[in-house]
Amino acid sequence: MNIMDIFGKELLFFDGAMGTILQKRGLPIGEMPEKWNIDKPDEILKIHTEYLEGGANIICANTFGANLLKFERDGKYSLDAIVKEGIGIAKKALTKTKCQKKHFVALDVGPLGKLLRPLGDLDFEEAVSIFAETIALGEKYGADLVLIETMNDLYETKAAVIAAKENSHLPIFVTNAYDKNGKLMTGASPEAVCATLEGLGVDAIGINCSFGPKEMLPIVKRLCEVASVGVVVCPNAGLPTFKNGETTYDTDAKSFADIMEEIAKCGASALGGCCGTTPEHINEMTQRLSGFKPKPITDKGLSVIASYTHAVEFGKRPVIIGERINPTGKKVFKEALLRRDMDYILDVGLKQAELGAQVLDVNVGLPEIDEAEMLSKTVCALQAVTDVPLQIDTSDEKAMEKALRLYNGKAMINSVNGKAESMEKVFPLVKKYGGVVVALTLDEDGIPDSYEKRVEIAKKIYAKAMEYGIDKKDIIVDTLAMTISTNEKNALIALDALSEIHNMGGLTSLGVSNISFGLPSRDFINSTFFTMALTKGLSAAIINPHSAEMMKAYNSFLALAGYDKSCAGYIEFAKTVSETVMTEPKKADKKDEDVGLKGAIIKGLCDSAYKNAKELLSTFDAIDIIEKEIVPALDVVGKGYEEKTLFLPQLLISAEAAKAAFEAIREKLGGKGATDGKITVIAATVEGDIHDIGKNIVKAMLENYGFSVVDLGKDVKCEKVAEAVRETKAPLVCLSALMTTTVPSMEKTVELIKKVSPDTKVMVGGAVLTEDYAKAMGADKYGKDAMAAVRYAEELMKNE
Amino acid sequence: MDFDVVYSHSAKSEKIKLNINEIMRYMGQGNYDDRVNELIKALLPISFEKAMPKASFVLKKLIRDDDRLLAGNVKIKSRSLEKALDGCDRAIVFAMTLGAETDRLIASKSTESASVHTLSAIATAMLEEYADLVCDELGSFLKSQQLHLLPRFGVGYGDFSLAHQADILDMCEGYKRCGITTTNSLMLVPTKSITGVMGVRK
Repeated sequence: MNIMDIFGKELLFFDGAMGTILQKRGLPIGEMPEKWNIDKPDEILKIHTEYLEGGANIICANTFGANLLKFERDGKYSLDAIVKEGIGIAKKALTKTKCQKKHFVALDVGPLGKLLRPLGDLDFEEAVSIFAETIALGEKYGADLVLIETMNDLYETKAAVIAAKENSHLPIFVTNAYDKNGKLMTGASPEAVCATLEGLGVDAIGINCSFGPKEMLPIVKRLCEVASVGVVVCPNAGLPTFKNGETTYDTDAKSFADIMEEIAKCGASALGGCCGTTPEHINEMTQRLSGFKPKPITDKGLSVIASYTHAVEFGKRPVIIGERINPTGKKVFKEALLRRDMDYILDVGLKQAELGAQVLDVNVGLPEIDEAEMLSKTVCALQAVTDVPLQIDTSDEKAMEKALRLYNGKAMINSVNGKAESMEKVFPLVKKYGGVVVALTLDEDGIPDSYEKRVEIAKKIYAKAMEYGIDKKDIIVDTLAMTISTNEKNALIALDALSEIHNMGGLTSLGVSNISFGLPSRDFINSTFFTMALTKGLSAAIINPHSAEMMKAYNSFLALAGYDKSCAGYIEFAKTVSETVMTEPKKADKKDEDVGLKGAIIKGLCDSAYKNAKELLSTFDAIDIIEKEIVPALDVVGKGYEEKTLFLPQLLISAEAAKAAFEAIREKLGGKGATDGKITVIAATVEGDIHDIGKNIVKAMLENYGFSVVDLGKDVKCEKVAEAVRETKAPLVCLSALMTTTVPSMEKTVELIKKVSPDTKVMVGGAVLTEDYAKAMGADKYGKDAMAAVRYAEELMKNE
Repeated sequence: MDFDVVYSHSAKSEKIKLNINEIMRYMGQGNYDDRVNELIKALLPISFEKAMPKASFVLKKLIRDDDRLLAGNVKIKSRSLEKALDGCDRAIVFAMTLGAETDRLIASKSTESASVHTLSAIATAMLEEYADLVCDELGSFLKSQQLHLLPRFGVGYGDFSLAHQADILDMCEGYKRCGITTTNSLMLVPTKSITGVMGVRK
């Protein structure tokens, strides 16, 4: 029998804790419980039997920590043996126990005990392959389902689910461990978890471990409200805590059963226990809930995407998608992309988020670059710095797949269209990884010039999507805003089609600014069209959040359409608008002093530095401004730092102001900096080291002094540094390491650099290093601080 | 407090009192500066919002065997730790953290070096204050049992080798209770975390 035949129709019961019971029965803290599958199988059998006799339907094999990070491929405690024996013992317990209930054995898959990048150092694909080995063995040895549990990180959860989908045909149940703030340890809300996991096609979601059933109740309610699959709940009981100078214990069996009854009434489809629970807890619960009919599992019909922290829902408040991460028509952005200037790209994203974009469109398609590599790199870099959900925007299906696989959450996808080829390429990816996909109303015959034909294409797309198991709720129809400069009816066609689809219960989106292509003062047309579309039911719009006209239209609409209680949002918004370009309120300097550019940098006034630079650029060359204003200002600050009259924070604040001035220069020069003649410097934190604050400070200072910095990031293998040296022929490499454990990596990197490019100079720095260390490992210079790096780079430049 | 029982602790971040001068010290700011002060004040609210202070600890019996300290299955050879535990027959093994969202907050400002540096310093100060808060509570509790708690001694201090990081975390279930892991090079993740030992004397 397949568990999915009865799941949701009758209330099912998981077993309780294994680890805490084993500890009571002699397993030392820190010892791996899975070893008892080999050493003391009878103890494991006994515990399984007790749970079955207590009324459990589903026994979790003793395989929670069974993975290649903890066990070897061979030997007495091989992974194969642990999983084989673990499942074997559980199945033996089922045969031994003469009970009428339907029984199942779950392969129990717990977390790997390592955090994935960018927080930790475990690679996503490595995590997938580790989980894959265990799960393949689980199916091989006869598990009835995969239970992925106690996951406190959404990304690791995704890796485990993908491993399960790619390596078995078993039903996939997932329960996560939440914090008392109602989120996973790495920040995901229950709604984000639900959206992501349902997008991946799991069969059940839920919560386990964390805390006792009473504290779990609010999270269970939230999960039951949004889940369209069954919800599994397995709380703790009896884990000791220390509070206000007292040790306290949680829930006894009777109190446990009381609250589990409440949880069942909320809509949970399966219940069990975690740390601290015993067969007594399970027995009390199953007795109490014997014959209880669970609420049916219903499709909540929610259209959601998610980042690793929160979900964004479509169909209620209109959603703004920031359009600025896109090289089309943007010379500065294009140059940054060709330079692989990730900081610039991240800045563009972060600024849009600060201005209110709820989703960020990510398009890095250029013929000169490897789009698949760049798109996934950009997605990973963005999700390391912002929790705004992303829209993966590409027509290259390889790039789309790679990015979707690595995306931490449930992405928006731009796009699919009515052509058979497009649907055949995109829908399988949407089905596998989850996503809400933008569907363009064009097909093999092109873009229809009537709204009726566009609606027909939308219907065709819906029907085809259903064949792949993709519901209408995961499709947003873009009725195509074509410019009115070529046909004055274009706006009406798009809006009529939008209106019809909205009335059909469909979701809609528009690339709003396309409507005015070729016309002057585009913002006025764009914002009026935007308002017209919003009144027709537009669900989402791709716009420029920097445009005051667009944001005025949006915020005014929200207030007028009743989405803004007490107009509080509008009142806040109104404080920020006085010009044609949105300002970021936090960045504005409090004192509007006119101190000139040099003064602004010395004083660390970003806004003033930017304005002064812009003003000066109308009269002077960029190179003059840099040499006569910016560099002298930095020298004043740098000198103060070296003489210890100024300190690092002040240096950094001035560096931010200089950066703002360079931003103005970059805009004027169309993306090029004024760094001709300046040497290229490579910067990296060595392999094994995940700290990069120091390295980033050095990078910021070098860039301020006009050096071009190739930032390889953190935890960088020596081969990658060597490859970068070969490619760029950089005369200087700056390496950073914080811990003694990573100094060997630094030595190895220095050695390799000298081998591939003996003339390249290496400077090393970091908390653990000294002049002597630096010399011993063959480095050319010890960098005690950021200014030392600048001085050395300048010295090298003179000698070039 | 029972031997070999792991206890969890958590606190609302608002309970932690911070001193701006301490934060400036962590930033390397040698004198008062208005702009630095303003930057700290601007970033304090979000720092408090994102921090989720948690700890786990376990009381272990100590056995001295030749030149090694034994607690459970773990053998540690460290003169400096030995000195820090002088006169103790038991010790509390602990792990504490501000959580992963603090790391994410710092990363979210990666293009603003002044903000990153400030957030990192605020988090360090917060972690130290939280550790003091936990130690104060433990100290008072132990005092009521006529026991005295000695200052905390971190893994990596002196010759207390980082190689023991994983053992210490396992002993106090640092991953399960607090979500603390180590990288391959034994760095703690989330980065604003500490592990160590505190002697308990009669």
